[in-house]
Amino acid sequence: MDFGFTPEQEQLRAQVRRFLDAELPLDRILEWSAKPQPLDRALWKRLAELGWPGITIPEAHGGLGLGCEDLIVVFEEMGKSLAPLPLLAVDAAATAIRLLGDDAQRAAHLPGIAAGETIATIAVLEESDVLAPDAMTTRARPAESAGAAATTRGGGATATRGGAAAGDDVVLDGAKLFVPDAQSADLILVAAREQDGVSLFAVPATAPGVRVTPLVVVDPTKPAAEVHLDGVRLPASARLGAAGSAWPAIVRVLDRMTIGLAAEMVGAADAALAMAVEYAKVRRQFGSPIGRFQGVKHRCAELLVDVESARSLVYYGAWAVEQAPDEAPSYAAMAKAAASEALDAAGEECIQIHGAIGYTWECHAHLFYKRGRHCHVWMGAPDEHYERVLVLQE
Amino acid sequence: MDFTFTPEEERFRAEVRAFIRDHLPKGASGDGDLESGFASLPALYKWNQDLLTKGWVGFNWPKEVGGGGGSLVEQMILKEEMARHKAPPLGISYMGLAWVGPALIKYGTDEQKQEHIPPILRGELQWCTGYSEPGAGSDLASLQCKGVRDGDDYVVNGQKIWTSLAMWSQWMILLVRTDPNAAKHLGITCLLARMDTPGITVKPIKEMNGGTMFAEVFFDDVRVPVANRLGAEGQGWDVTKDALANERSSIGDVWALKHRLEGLKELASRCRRRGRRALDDPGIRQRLARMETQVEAMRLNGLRFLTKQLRGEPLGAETSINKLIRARVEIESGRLARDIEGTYGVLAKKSPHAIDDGKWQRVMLGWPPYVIGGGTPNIQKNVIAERLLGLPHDAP
Repeated sequence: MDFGFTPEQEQLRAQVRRFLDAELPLDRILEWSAKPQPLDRALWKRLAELGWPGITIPEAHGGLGLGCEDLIVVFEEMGKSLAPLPLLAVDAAATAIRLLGDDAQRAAHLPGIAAGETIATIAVLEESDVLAPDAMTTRARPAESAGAAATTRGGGATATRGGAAAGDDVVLDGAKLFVPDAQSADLILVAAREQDGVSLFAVPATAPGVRVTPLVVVDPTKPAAEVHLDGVRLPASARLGAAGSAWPAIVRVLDRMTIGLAAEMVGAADAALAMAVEYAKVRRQFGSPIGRFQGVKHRCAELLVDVESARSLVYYGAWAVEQAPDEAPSYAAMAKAAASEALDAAGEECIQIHGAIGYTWECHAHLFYKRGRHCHVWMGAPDEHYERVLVLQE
Repeated sequence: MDFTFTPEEERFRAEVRAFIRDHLPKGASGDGDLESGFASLPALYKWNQDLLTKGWVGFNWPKEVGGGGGSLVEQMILKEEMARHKAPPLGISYMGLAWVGPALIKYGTDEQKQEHIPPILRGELQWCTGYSEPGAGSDLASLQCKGVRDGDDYVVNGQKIWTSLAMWSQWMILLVRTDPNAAKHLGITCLLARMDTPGITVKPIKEMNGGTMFAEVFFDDVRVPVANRLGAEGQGWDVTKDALANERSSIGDVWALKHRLEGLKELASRCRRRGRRALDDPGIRQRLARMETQVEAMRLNGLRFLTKQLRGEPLGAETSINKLIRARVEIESGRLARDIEGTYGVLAKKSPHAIDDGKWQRVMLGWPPYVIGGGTPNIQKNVIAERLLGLPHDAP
């Protein structure tokens, strides 16, 4: 019985903390969020040297081969710094490739991801905002014969890749919405209806017919985009797993990603609470630090209860992903619901405890508030997750 | 992280389960619904005797005093299995086991230990705790009940209140002010008094649910022998504080709440709201799942705190976190049951048409002992804010 981290995991936490404090202090996040820039590739390469993008990628493919528990240590610290890094999307894509891909596909994609050369993401949700195979309108269909295909845009070029027969090529049509970090991505894993199920395709962002439109979001540190797929022709080797069979793996990937997001949110809530508490200790009114007044201190205490509770659920969920996969969906749902409530409240309270200064651009409070309001509904609002907790038992 | 147990711990769990299978009194239902009772009194004494043979009464106490010497993990397993199977409490002398024993072990003389600990383990004597006073509740250290040294006795005058089980107790552990000139935490002394001592009057208090569990206790020139002082004169605050801190794992509460939650789901599957099963009502579903999430968080928080202890780190105010969650869930469960029942939610015990004979109305009216007792939620929030977050102390 041990519900805590190992010394190695604590070292990892300290390393992540040092890196983020040096490279992405909140003042830089503030500056950056006024004018969001594309991902700093040089920075990403440097954290790839520390092993982050490949943290759970097997060593054989250039990663560290660590587990989900190690991963959430990184996410939690990233959340404290509100780091606008695409690690959630990258790990989700790498995991999907690991779960669904064959040896050739793993060898083709994973080393580049681990090395920080390939930014990958996963695109599942669409305009309907419904996460279900039936709601999906993006479709994969067999390409026309090689001769006909040569006349379509770029078809001939991709058809020869991987040596697959042109007759096995597929064409994707549709649009994906709320795709995390797609504007930075080199590789987009696209879920599409095929036959009677859902398939997942590895789509190069540069493939003809792919158009990425960045969204303007409440929290600019969580970039997202719309991805249009207009007659995108791919070789059969782009399909991860058998045709129409990817949905169960996609659900697993999304559960893992949900726990990772919840870990980021717990980190952010922790930092927002710490910021509010520090201010409450030094700000004096009525002759006393405002943190002495129960109207302030009790709210802080309640937030601590909520943050610690969400944290426990996240940690257990991360353990369950690999050690008790049957339990992971339920804990992903509970962790996300709890983290959503904790961060939504912590960001809001951080502004309120700061008073008027909390509304200014210079004060970091709004960064946490925006993260809270944004992530509350990102990857499922609490009401959806609570509903899922019961459905999973029925 | 590792949620597995050692082979020894697994063996212990199997032993506890086998014991429960063989010895659980018929009709036992430790689901917190006290009125339905745990079992008959003779069955409870038999249960206590069986537990004693295993060393499971006072399981966390050292073996030298007759306790079980159980490890932290074994204590957790024992509590968890007992609560999971709705077993009666681990012992009969509730207050004796919760507060008096731990204080005796740390501060008692050999004579005091020999006199008091065996009857507590055997469940022969009930104890009550004379801490709160009309003017000293959350601010317990401001208590005024006086103890004046007179020869070999302390002469006690004053009043205690909210004293649970006072009318059924043979002994009381109480705090008195022996030095009115000392700082408020320092002038307090802990005494052990027989409840049949001349000058003690017990006046039961009727509670909002119609029951009577606690009482006022008046002291009129009550003579308590100096030999019955626990700890040194003026050390009473430490004696009590340590006993209060002795409370550890919340795993028993977690399982009681899990049973409550299952009961609520079952209730929701029977009751109809707006023309459909309450269990199909989106609002009710949200509240059930939210409660489940809180109870699960409470379980996992407890495991994180246990891990801290296992790693040799002191456990401080963290336990207040689970106390606050428990308070939220206790209050919400009665309120949610009422809302599941709809208009039937107004019907209490013995009413025609009452659902489950008003069981859930008793829950709705019965949470204060669990929520207010041992420190109100507002006090728990002070504790968390001051000791975990380092915010300034409340008092001027």
